[in-house]
Amino acid sequence: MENSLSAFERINMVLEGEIPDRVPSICLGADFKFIDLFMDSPYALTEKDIEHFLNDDLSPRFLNTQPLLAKFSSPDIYEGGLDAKIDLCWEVVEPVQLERGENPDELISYGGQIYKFIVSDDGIPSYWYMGPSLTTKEKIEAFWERIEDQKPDKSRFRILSKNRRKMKKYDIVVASGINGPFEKCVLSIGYLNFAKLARKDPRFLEKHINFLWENIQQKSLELLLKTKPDVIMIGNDIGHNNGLQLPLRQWQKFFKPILKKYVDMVHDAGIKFLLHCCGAIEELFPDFVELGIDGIDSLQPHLNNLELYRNKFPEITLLGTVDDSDLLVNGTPNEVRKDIKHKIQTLGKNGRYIPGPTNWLLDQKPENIIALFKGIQEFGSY
Amino acid sequence: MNSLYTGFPAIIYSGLWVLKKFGILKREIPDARILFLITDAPPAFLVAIENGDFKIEILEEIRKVEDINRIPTNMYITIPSDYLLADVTSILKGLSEGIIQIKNDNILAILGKIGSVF
Repeated sequence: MENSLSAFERINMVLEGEIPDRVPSICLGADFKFIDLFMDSPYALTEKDIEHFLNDDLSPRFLNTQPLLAKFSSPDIYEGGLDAKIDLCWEVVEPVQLERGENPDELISYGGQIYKFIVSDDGIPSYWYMGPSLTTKEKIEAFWERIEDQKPDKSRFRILSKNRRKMKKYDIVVASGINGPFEKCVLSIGYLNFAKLARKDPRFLEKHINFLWENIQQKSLELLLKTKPDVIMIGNDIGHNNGLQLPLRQWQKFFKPILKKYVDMVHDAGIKFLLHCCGAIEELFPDFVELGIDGIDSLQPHLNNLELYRNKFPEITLLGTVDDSDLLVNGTPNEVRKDIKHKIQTLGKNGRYIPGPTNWLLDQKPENIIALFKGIQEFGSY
Repeated sequence: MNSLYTGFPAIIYSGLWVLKKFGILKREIPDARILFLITDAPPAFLVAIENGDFKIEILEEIRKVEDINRIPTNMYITIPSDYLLADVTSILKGLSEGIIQIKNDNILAILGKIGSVF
């Protein structure tokens, strides 16, 4: 299919509520497991592809796997492409250097999330969130004392800017982001600690949330905006399978004011604001509209009533929506085609729709991913 | 499922694994036997790169800088974790201050390639 608009123009039109030439597509990126499946599939990069992409200085970055995303290009962009074009991907900056944890096997991100690289006995690596490290008030206060060691690093944002330019050659927009206020706070101090502080010492909790904003998140966002990103997407998973991870009123009290600061800063710079937010999040949609968020990503279809969102909140662009945990793992390419055809007809007929898998690619069948992006092109014409 | 590696050996493994999957290990990284000692997270581990593939062996007996020559290698690096997790500038600073020790400058190019994955 010939593209009459660039991916950037197409995405911006959709976020403005206009109807572009076709429905754009999103793929956040690929985790280790998907790289393994893809590179063992008939669609794997050839020697010629590798040489071509190396000449263009594309890096196989973890999650933002540039050569893999470029391989999906249409042939008018890259002759060896799979003609299953991706328009939008996502790269999240960890603004502060990771530190070694108390257990030398573990890494700590700013604010106190514990992560671990693990290589399982099938030889495939993985990177997992292991838990919070700031589990008492004393540990949180000790973290405040160490703020001088936690300054956002400019060079990390420069790399992101360079990556965006590299992907532009393949007409792929890189949504740039940092973590949002809820995820960063709760995964660092723990759910139990959060619940206890919210009830018994809300001022202390507010102080911590504001501390993260003033000392790290606001500064990181300023550095990110200086790189002039095309679009910003913040990672902030607030839902789980049965609803929100915290009572709505607590989200509104503690985190909504900070998220508003994020949105306002980004909009003041003339850039669209997207939020990646997993789980069943219907309760949050009225607040998302009030904050002026341009688009919500993920939207697992078995957890969210997507047609209701489409009808009730027409001002918000829906991103993702294609089930990454069952359909794309266990389904067939034909079932994927039927699903995306139906979704485009129901969710995308009036625009404001950027479909793709509901999370980073992990254990999905490569043939289903190809079928999805080919289907978006085939059924997505306006 | 059990784990083969965790911690710093798993980080280096993950970088090399991605480079191998995309054919970059074979094209751009020469065969080498590299000993890594993360000085605050021992023991050391040995990375053997050969013809586009690699293996990692944990060296339980190598825990201090003084021990590293007990294993024959053509490259080694002894480095504190906060330098390994930082950027190139920090590594160069650590080298100039003697905090990081290396055998064979080529190890810096290999580290740069591994770092490009993250």
